[in-house]
Amino acid sequence: MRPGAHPLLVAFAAGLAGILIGPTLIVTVMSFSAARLLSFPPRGLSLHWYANFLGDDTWVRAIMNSVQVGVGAACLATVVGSLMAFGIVRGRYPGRAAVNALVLGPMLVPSVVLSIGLYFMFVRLKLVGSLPGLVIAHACLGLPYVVLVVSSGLRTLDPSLERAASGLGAGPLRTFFRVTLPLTLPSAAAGALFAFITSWDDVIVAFFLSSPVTRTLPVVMWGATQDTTDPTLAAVATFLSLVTTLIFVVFLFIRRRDPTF
Amino acid sequence: MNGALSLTAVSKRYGDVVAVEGVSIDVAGGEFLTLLGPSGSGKTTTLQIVAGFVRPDRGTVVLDGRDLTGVPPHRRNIGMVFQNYALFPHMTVADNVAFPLESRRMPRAEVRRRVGEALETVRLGGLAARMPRQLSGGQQQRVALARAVVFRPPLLLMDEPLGALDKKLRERLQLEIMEISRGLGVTVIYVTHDQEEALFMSHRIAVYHGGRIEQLGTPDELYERPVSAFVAGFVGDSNMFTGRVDDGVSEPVLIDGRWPIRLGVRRNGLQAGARVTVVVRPERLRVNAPGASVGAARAVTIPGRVREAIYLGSVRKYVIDLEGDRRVTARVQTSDATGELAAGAPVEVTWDVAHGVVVPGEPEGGEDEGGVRR
Repeated sequence: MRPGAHPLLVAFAAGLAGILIGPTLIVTVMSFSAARLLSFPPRGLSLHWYANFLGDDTWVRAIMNSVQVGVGAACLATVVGSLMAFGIVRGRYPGRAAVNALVLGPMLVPSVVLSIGLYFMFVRLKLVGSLPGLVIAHACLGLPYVVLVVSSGLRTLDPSLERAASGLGAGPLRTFFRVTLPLTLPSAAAGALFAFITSWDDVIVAFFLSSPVTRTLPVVMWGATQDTTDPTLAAVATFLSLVTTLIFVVFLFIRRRDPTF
Repeated sequence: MNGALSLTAVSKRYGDVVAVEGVSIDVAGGEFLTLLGPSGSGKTTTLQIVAGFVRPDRGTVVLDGRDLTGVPPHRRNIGMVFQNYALFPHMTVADNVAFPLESRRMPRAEVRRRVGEALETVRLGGLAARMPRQLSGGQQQRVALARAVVFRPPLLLMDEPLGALDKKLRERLQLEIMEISRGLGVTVIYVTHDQEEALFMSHRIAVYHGGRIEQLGTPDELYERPVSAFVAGFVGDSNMFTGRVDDGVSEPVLIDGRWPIRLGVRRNGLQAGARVTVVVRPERLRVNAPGASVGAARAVTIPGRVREAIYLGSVRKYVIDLEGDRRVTARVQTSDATGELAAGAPVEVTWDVAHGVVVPGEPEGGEDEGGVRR
């Protein structure tokens, strides 16, 4: 213990860390258990459940679905969200605040409400159960994060840089592609990662909008908790958190590499 | 390339706020013109109107016979150095300097040659591959200068380019900017609020006040013949005496209920009763022992007492309380024969009436106590 840290503070911090990290650690440990039922502490060590998970078509297809939907939703949300951020930060028109509030809507509306609404919309558009439908729905979920991150990036962009570019002879297009875009890219990348994680973690919207063949990993997991009790589920959960963690590490890496971000 | 610039009756308002009002300037090719004034006086707005970032409500901007008033910034071919340098943080030094050349679609070999040359000119040849954040403030400033002149614009605009640097470095870069701009023959419009910098660097200075040009002239014109109390107060140190003109016995004098001051102007030059200020520079005052003042016919002599005597190396500075509750500052060469006067010593302060510049009105901030204004 460092001098000056009060024992109560240390205990509080440790308790908080336990609540935040504990559940993930427990699941991770259980996934390596040799026991046949989900149990803690584990008895013996085994990679059996990982083999089970990766050898099962249902799980593998779910992974593929999740990756496709996640990547598609992140791309869509990033492109649309970045353009919206430009419109919100740079635009000069009445109702800008309203547009901003509207864009943040999906973050505020409960997922269940959004899901039911999307379901009835998608029924008409014949998108229920399809991957494109899921991509669009998840892009909606990720959009607010992209808009928030990119617009804050744009607001911190020094306006004299764009002035300098045009003063030095670059037209509006050249200024955008050589100055504005490269300097906004790190924010857009961060927004894309947030959008991917949002999609990767979602169970509610995907539950409503997926068909048996387009079910994403969290939806299949949810189903599995209903009728199985073996540690395969823990292995899947560990895999899920590992991907999220990796993405977060990438995010921190971008941030450290680029001080303008 | 010539670089002759004409601003004619340029005005710009933001809502009810006047940023620039009726500004007209003619700048000759190769001239170094400084826009000097306190913040918010319109000097930066003028610069941005020339650069094309701000569109004037009225007036025209003409460069070498070409009307630029409606031309967007990227088609004006004017170099600009920003206050915070505005280097592109994601590009190397060389890429920053190459940017204006690439925007002009110059062949790659030519770009490389010119970038190398420009970096040599600012003595940064070895730092071409660095990123801007790896450079010191002075180096960043030099890169910004190289980038602004690499495409050989006829006109270079500089917006308080040295504001963020410490005094020593600022003085060195002032000299470098002067040498480089004169070497290139480029016309420079330089914005600063530092009057010493303006006096040191410029061929001519435009003193801004409240969106208008108060006086446009050479450094010595501004210093020796200020047209207003504002200019006198902003450029250099000065002693100012404000009062009413009285016809006097033999010639007009300044009356403010104290010691009358001869104005050294002809009787018909000033309206009796007009409110005026007499400006006398501290180095124009002579400080003598009582009775020692040579009875020059064209001099003003007022008795007083030394309040503070400050030794500054090459000069001595005296703060003197004059009879009649006025205070002045005098600057005397240390090599001057009078020697040092101690605080409390009775003295006579005298100046040649020709060195008292009469300007209309009074210094801002109301009634002047006859003290030093900076």
